[in-house]
Amino acid sequence: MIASPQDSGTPAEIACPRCRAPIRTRDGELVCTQHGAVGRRGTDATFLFADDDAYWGEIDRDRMRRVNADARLRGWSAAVQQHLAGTDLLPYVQHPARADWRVLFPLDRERTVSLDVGAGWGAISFGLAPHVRRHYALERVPERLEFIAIRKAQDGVENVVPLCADLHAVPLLPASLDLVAVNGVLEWAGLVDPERAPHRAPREPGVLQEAFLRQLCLLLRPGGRLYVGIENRYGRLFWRGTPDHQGLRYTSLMPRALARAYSRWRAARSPRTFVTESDYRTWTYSLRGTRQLLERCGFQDVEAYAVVPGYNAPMQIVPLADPGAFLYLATRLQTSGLASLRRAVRVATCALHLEAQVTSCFAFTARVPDLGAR
Amino acid sequence: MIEALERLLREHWPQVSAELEPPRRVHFLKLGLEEYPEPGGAFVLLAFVDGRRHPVAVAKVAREIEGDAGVEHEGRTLAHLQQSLPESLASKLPKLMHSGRLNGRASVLLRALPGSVELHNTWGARRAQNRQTCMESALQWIWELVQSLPAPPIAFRDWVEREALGACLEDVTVLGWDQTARHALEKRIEALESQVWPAGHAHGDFFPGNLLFHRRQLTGVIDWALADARAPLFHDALTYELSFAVGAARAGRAPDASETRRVHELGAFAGMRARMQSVGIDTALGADARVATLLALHQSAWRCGRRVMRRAFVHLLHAEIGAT
Repeated sequence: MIASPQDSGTPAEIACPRCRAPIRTRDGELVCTQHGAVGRRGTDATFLFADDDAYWGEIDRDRMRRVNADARLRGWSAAVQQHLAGTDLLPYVQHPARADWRVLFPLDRERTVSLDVGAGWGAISFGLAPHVRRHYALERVPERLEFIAIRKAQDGVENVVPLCADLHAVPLLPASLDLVAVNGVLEWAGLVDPERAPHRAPREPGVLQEAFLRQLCLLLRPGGRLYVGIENRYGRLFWRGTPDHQGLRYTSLMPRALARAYSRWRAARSPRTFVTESDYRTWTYSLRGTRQLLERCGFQDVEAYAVVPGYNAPMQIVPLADPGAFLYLATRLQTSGLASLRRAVRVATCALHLEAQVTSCFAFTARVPDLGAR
Repeated sequence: MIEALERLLREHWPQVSAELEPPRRVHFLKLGLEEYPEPGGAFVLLAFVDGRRHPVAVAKVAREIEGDAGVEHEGRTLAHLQQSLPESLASKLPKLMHSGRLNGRASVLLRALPGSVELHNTWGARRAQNRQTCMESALQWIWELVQSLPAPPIAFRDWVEREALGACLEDVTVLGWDQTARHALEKRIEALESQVWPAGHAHGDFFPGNLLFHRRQLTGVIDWALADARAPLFHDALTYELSFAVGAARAGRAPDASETRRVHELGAFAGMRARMQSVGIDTALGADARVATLLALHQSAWRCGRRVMRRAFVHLLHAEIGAT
C-alpha cells in the first residue's frame, strides 16, 4: 500500500527529482508514479536521492567521518571544537551570523519555506531555521548530510529537513519555495555535468550554471526570493593571489579559454574535491556578469551587495547601488602606518565608484516575477 | 525584514526628526559579528544611511531567542531615560522610534546620533590631546547621568549573583590559576560580601566603542542593552578605565599600564573620585571596587555567553589580585 505524503511524515514539498511530480513513501522508499523508486528515507530523518560515493569538503573524508563519529558520541559542538580547533573552519561550521543576510528578506515563521542548496555543515540552515516554517538543507555529500542530521537531532530543530540530492536535480515541487539560498555554490554548479553522455564532452560550465539557476526559478513561488553569495571574478582577493576554487592562482582573472588551458597544463589538485582537475570549470563573474546571468535565468529586481570580509563571514553587507555607504565604511578604517595608505586607496576606489568592481565577494538578492508577469 | 523596518522608519520619522524626508533606503547592514569567532552574538544591526554618508537611523534585531531580552531591555531603558533625563543629557541618547517584535524576534529602531566611534587605542600619538578631551567629556556626561538618577544603595551580593561568582571561579580553574591566586580571589570575594555602595543608573558597557564623538565632543552614547537602573556609582567609570586593558587581556597579554595611567591622569576622573568620596565611597576607585567591577563585568559576559570576554575579565582579575 502506498501511503500519502502526509501520512508518512514526508514533507509536502518533496517531489521526484526527475519529473518533479509528488512522491509517495512505500516501505521507506520514495516512489514516483512515473519513475518508480527515486529515493529512500534515511536514518536520522533524512531523505536520500543520491547514493553514490561523491565527496568534497573542507576536510578530507576520513577526518569528516571521525567528526561525525565523535559528534554522535559527545555532541556535535564538542566534536567540532576538538577536530577543528585552531582552524578558520570553526566559525564557518557553527556561527549563526552566517545566515544574517536573512534580514534582507520578508520571512515569516508561520509560512516561509526555504532551501539552502549545498548546505555543507548546516550553519546557514540552522541560522535560518528559527525564522521560517520549514527549511530544506540540500547536500550531496553523505558525510556532510550526516553531520546536519546529527546536529538537527541533538539541537531538537524539527523544521530542518536534510536532503541528499544533486544540485541539478533538487527533489522539490515546482513553485513550492519562498526563499532559496545559494551561498558559495553557484560557481561549483558548472564543475560536473550530471547528464554527461559517454564519450561526449561535458556541457560548458556556464550552461550548467544557467540550468541550475533556471531550476531554482522554477522551484520558487511567484514573488519568491533568491540569495546568492559568490566571489567577484575580478575581486581584490584574486588580484592579491588568493587561489581560485580549483586551487590555482589568477585563473578567474584570465580569459576563460586561457584559464582552461592553464588548468589543463597545471593539472592541480582541487582543495575541495581532492581530485586533480584538468579543466577550469568553477566560473565566477563580474558584478555585471552575475547580474546578467540571474536576469537571463528569469529573475528580476536583482540587487547587488558587497559582503565584507566574505560571504562566509558576513560582517557587513553593503548595497552597491550607491557608493555612499561604502565611503562611510572606508573612512572608518584605521589610520596608522600602512593602514592609512590602505584607507586612502579604499576611499579613492569608493569615490571613483570602483569599489563595486573590485570588492572580493558579492551577495545578490533577486525575485521571481509575480504570477501575471511570469 | 528590511521592508518592514523601512515602513516603520517612514511612519515614525516625523516624531524624531525635524527634517521632512526620511532616508531613501537601507544602505548597509552591520551584522554584529564583533565576537567572531565566538558562537552566538545577540543581534543584527542595520544602519540606514542617506546621501550624507552617515547613518541616520539604526535598527537592532535579536538574532535568536536568547537575544530578545537584551534588545527589549535596551528599548525599555531608552524610553525610560528619555522621559527621566534633562534634555542636556537625553540629547546624547539615541531616540527610540519603535520597539517591538518582527517575525517573532525583538527589535528596536533608533534615530542615529551624529559623530563616530573613535576607539582611543587606534589613535596616533599626535592625537593625544583629542583623546584627552574626548575622555573628559565622556566621563563628565556619565557622572551627570549617574547623579541624575540615584538609586537605593546596593550591596555587592545584590549586584553580582552567586551563580555568576561560581562561573568565574570555574573560569579561574580552566585558566590554570595557581592555588595561591585562587585563594586570594576567594578572600577578596568574601571581603566584598559585606560591602554596600551608593548607587545610580549605569550604562553597563561604558567604553570607547560605545561613545560617539564629533569635533572632540561627546555626541552620543549607544548600546544600552546592559544598562542597570541600580548599580554602584563607580561602575561605569571603572568599566571605562578597565576597558583600556581589555584588549590586551583578550589576547592573553598583560594589560598596558600606560593606557590605564592615562585615564587616571584625567581631570574628570580625579574629579569623579573626589565626588564619590564626598558621597561616602571611601575606596570608590580603589582595589575593592575594581575587583567588584571586574566580577560584575564577568557576570555580564557570562549571561551573554561571551566566552572570550569572560576569559579577558579573569585575566584582568588575576592582574588585580596580583597587584594588591
